[in-house]
Formats: sequence, C-alpha cells, structure tokens
Amino acid sequence: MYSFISSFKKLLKGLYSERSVRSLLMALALILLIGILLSGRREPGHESDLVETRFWALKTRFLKPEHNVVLCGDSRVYRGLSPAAMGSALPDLKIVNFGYSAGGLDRLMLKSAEALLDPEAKVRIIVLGVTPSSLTPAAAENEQYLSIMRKPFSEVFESVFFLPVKTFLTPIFPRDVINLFSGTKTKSNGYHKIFYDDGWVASWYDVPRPEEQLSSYRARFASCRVSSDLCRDVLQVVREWRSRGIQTIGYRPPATRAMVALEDSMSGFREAEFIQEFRNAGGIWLSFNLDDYVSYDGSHLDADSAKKLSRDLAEKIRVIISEGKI
Amino acid sequence: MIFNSVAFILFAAAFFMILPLVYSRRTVKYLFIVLASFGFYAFWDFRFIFLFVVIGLVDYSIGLGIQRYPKMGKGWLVISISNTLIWLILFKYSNFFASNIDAILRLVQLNARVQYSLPEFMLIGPVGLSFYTFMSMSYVVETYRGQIKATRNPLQYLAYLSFFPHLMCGPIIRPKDLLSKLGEKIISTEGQRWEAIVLISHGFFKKVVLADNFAPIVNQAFANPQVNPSGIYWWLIMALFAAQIYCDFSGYSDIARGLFKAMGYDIPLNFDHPYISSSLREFWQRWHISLSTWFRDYVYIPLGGSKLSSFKTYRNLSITFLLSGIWHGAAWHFVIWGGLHALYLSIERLTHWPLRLEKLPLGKIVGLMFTLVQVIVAWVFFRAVDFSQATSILGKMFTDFSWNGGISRFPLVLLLVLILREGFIYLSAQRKLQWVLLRWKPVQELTVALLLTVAVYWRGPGNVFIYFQF
Repeated sequence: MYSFISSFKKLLKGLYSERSVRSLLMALALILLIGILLSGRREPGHESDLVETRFWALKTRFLKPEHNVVLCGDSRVYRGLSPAAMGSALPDLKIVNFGYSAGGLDRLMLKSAEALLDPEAKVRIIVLGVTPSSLTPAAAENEQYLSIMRKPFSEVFESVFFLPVKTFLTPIFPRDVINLFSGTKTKSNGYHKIFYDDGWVASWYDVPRPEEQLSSYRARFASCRVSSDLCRDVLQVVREWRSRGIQTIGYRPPATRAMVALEDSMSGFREAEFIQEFRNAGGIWLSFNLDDYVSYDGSHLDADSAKKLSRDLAEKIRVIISEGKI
Repeated sequence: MIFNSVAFILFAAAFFMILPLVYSRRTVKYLFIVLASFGFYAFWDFRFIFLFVVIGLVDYSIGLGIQRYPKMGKGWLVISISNTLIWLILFKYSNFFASNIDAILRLVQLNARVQYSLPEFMLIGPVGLSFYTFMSMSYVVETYRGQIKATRNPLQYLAYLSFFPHLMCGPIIRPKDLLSKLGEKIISTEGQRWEAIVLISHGFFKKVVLADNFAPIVNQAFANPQVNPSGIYWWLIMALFAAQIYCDFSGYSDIARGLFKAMGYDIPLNFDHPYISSSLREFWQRWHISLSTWFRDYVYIPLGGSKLSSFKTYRNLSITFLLSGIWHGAAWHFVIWGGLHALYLSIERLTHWPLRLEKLPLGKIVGLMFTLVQVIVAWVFFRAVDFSQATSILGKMFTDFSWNGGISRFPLVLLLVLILREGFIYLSAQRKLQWVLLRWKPVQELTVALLLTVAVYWRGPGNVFIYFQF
C-alpha cells in the first residue's frame, strides 16, 4: 500500500514538473473558475443558439425510420404544424415535422422524408406543405438541410448530447461581462421561438407585423419563379409513392391574404392546375380557410394558429383514414 | 471530427493514453494509428473511409511494383496518377463539370440537367481528399525517382496516409518527414511536449477566437453584398477575410504540428507569417508551404521551371498557379484567383519591383503594403460565390471611398490584436524588439493557460475549418 502511494506521489510529482501539464492544469482551473462564477448569473435564454443548433441536428441527423406521418416543406411547415397537437386526433400515429428554412420539394427532400417512414407500418403518410417558394430552383438548393448534413458528425453529436457542457462553457464576450456586472439587461426584440423535439418551432411576435415578409417575397419572386421541372418531379414521386402504398396529402400552408395574392401574381404557381395534377397522380389535396389563422409576419403562423391548423389537419386525416381511403 | 470539439478532446486523451502501450511494436502501432484515424474520420463521414483504403492500397502496391520492376516505372506512375485523378474527378469535380456541361448545353437550347442527376454522395465531397491524394502522389513520385524506398508494410502506408492530425486539411507531409519515422521507436521529449502545447494553444486561439469571430461578419457581408456599397467597408471586410483564412488554416496547421510534436514527430512549418512578406514570391514561400513546395517539386520543376526560355517560365508559372486554383475549389473563381497570382508573380519577375523598392527609404514597408493589397484583391475572387459578385465587390473597393459603418467593434479589435501579434513577430525576427519578460518560464506557462481559457470563452460561433472544403 505504502509503495503504491509513494509511486503515485512520484507520478504526480513527475507530471507536475512538466511545463505542459502545469499549463494545462492552470487552464483547466481558470476555465472551471470562470464557468462557476458565471453560472446562474447569465441572462435566461443565453443558451438559445445552442438549443436551436441541437434542434436542427436532431431533426437532420438523428431521426429514425419509425414514423407513420412525415410533414415535409419549408418554414411554413416547421413553424406551422405541431405533431404533438396533431396527436390529439391521431393518437396511434407517430408524427414528425421534417420542414426546413427555405426548403424545397425536390427529389432529395422527398426521398429524405420517405426514409423517415416506418417501412413496416400499415399507415404511411407524407404531408407536403406546398408553397410556391418551395417549388423554386433556389429552394431546391436546400441550403439549410445540406449545410447540416455536411457538418461533421462530432459537431452534431456534441450539439445533441453535450448540451449541458456546452451551456456551462457558453462564450462570454467583453460587452456581456460589462452588462452582467452592471446589471444591464439585453433589450428583447419581441420575437419568440420555442423548439420542440418533434420538429415544430412555435414562434410569434409580441406585436404582429403582417406586412413584414411581403417585400422579401417580392424580391425573391422577381428573380426566381416556380420551376415546372420541380412540379413534374413532385408529381412523379407522388405517383411512385402511391404505387408503393404511401399516401401523399398536399395542402397550401395558410398565410395572409396579401401574401397569397402576391405569390399568385408573381411566383408563376398555377395552383388549380397543380392540384388537379396532384390528384391525378394519386395524392389527396386539402384546403384551409385563410381567415381561420393568424400570421405574425405575413408568412408564418403564430403558435396558437399553428396548433389550430395542426388539429384541423389531423382531423381531416382521421376522417380520410376512417373512410378507408388510406 | 474537428479539433475544436469536446469529442476531439476526449479522443485525443484516449489516443495519447494508449499510444505509449503500443509504440514499441511496429505493426500494432500502425494498426492502432489506422484504426484511431479511421474512427476520427468516421465522426465526419464513415462512407468515405473506403477511399483511403482503395487509394492507399493501390499506391502501396504501385510503390512495390516500381521498386521491383523499375523499367516499367513510367507505366506504374501513369496508373497511380490516373487512379488518383479518377477519384478526385468523381468526388470533387463531377459537380463542377456537370454544371459546366449544363451551361454549354443551355447555350444550344438543351436542358440536360446533368448536375441534378448526380447522386447525393457526389455533392457532399469527402473531407481531406485533396490533401491525402497529394500525399499519396508524392509517395509514388518519390519512389519512382528513387528518393525513397517503398514500404513493405501496407499498414505503415495507411498509417502515414490517414494519420489523424493531418487527415482533414494537411499539411501535405512528404514521406521522408513521416513515413520512415513511423517505423522508428520515437517518444517525445519534455521539450517537444512543451513546444506541442504552445503550438496547440496558439492554434486554438487563432482558429476559435480570431477566425471564428471574423467569420460571421464576413459571411454576412458576402451573403448580401448589395446592402453596403461603401468601398472602405469592403476593404475592411476583405482584411477580415484575409485574417480569417490565415488564422483558420494556420491555426489548424499549428494544432496538427503540435499533435505530431507531442508524439515526437517534427513536421515542417506550413505557415511562416505570410502577411509580413514584402513580395509575392516571399508570400508564396510563407503561405501554405507544404502545398507550394508540392506544386514546385511535382509540377513547376518537371515542366522546366525557370531554366528554359522566358516564355516557358511564364507558361510554367501560369500552369502551376491555375492548377493550384482548381485544387482549392471546383469553381471558376478559384481558377481566376490562381491566374491572378500567376499574373502578379510574372509582373514581379519581369519588373523586379521588390528589389527596386528595397533600395528606397521605407521601401520594405511599401513593398509589404503593396503585396498585401495584391493578396487582398485576389482573395476577393477566392471568397466570392461567383465571378460577377467578385467584380461587383472590386468595383466598390476601387471606386467608392465612403464609409457608413456596418462592422461591429469586437472583430476589429481582434484584427488589431492579430496585426500587433504579426508586427511583434516581424520586429522580433529583425531583432528590433525583444521582450525579456516573455522568456521567463512561469510567464510562458501562464500565457498558454490564458490562451486556452480565452479560446473557450471568447470562441466564435462554431465553424468548421475553411480548408475542409478543399
């Protein structure tokens, strides 16, 4: 026992005599000290970027093929449909929201959505939130989805499984330190987001600004219009799915009337024609009354409306299933 | 896996604990290095590990073939280079070629959409491919030239090719600097371990504090270049990008060299403070040295170098830099970046302006500034998403000298930190400035500890290394 303690002491002494080890120990002590001093003092929400990164990593890299219903589309889908709220009408089905910012309805995204379905399940449904923007070549670049796919696995792994460590080590810049010790609070911008593991992002403004997104959509459609090739691809995939027993349900996510009018006039999207072809391909198209929902920025539904739309959509799906159409 | 991650710290701790247990048995050591490196790579994308195995085993066999049948040397060389080029074209350049084919077909009213028909794995691009293929090519060429002996152990070759510190973005290590040393029973000295921690702490500081805090402001500027028309704003953005790419890449190289040093291997310097160069020639002797010397030894000199006629010298220079451009990225703006550097060097060679300037008072400083301006102008093509964005930004830089803000103070303060750091090194190198305090061991140890602490708490938004895309 004595010899063990003595050799352990020798080892420690030997290690401490190493300059590199001394430096590392000093660094470790400083990092822990700062972390402990800061924990509990930071403003609530300082970790929101980490939570958001975890959300996207989880959605893109860690979902398994175990779902009955996959909701696919752009930001109007991931902010506008809550799988949990849909669960009240469809309690036996496993639902996931697979929407992405400026996401396209191209083959890559459609195939990726299909890969999340449980291959053994009796009920397999893919819900497509069809916006004119999601049928443009720009959306088909799937910048957000591919950027997360290209991230090193270690980075996404850490963002999902090391959240507490990362929160403890959240960077703090000189201005934050000054604010912290002077008691100055960061001014809220009135925009709120809550991330759910089922893929939904509840979002809203304290004061809605329903005109806000109109100018950016105007600029978007001035340079990029709906692609007939992408529309054809969607219909082709719907046909393929139908032949393999996967039901596709399409709908146009509600937005403000001004936004829908702008999209109809500028995007080149011929909705009636698309719906007809969608039905011919074997898909089921659902429509919703725009006036039943509230958009906080002209494009996206606020959290309450998103829950209402989710319940309405789920109810329609329940009826379709009970009528034996699926 | 990236160096600036918690997973890597755990990985490195485990690796350095196990290494002493296996270092005396060669084959076990090689196997351990290969498995650890594949694990390191698999954290990024396990699907592309087969490329190491295929390229590695082909070039290993060709190395043995060259040694056994030297008369067929050229044939072996052609097979090896063709094999490497096929993988490079398939995984790095297919998207580029497809988009160009589409563009050409569109000119004749044909909508082929070749680019869209490429499978997804071709769009992702294996990280580090350009680096390890160049290492493998240098092994075959040096075996062919009789400069090295081919290894008989395939695991030794795979260990050389895939060793994790250089795996993602270099440096491009020559066989004489690593392959043969892997076979020796090397263990690091205390001095090497200290140098290792100094290199690693400086590398992390450069990468996560400097480069990662410059990145958001540069990315934002290039995402919406029309928002700010001020020329001064764009000069500052480009200065920040010049600093970002230097800190990002040299930070990686420092960490990689530090890791090798901690194992007892001394790897040549990859960046030698390039922005203190007072000529373009000097810049390329200091910037990404492992790549510059690779192109010098395997492209420029075999083409004839500067020993033939003037025309041929300029031609060789242009070919070398155009290839260097396309090596960096499969896009025309990278080719233009390479071409611009070839033009700069040709003008420098023709006029000898650095020598003329040096004779004037403050000539060296003027040369340094002029070199920096040329490098920054070329970086515009490197960073821009396409040619038209680059020309529009250059237009602003040279025609509009207004200033309307748009850059927060923190990255500018960090840029100043970098300038002071490089200035200090420049003056120290010329023996005009010596800080006795910095030679005191406790101060050095505290500096390292502070650099690591700052790297944790002032780190910028998580960013992968820029050169991963190459």
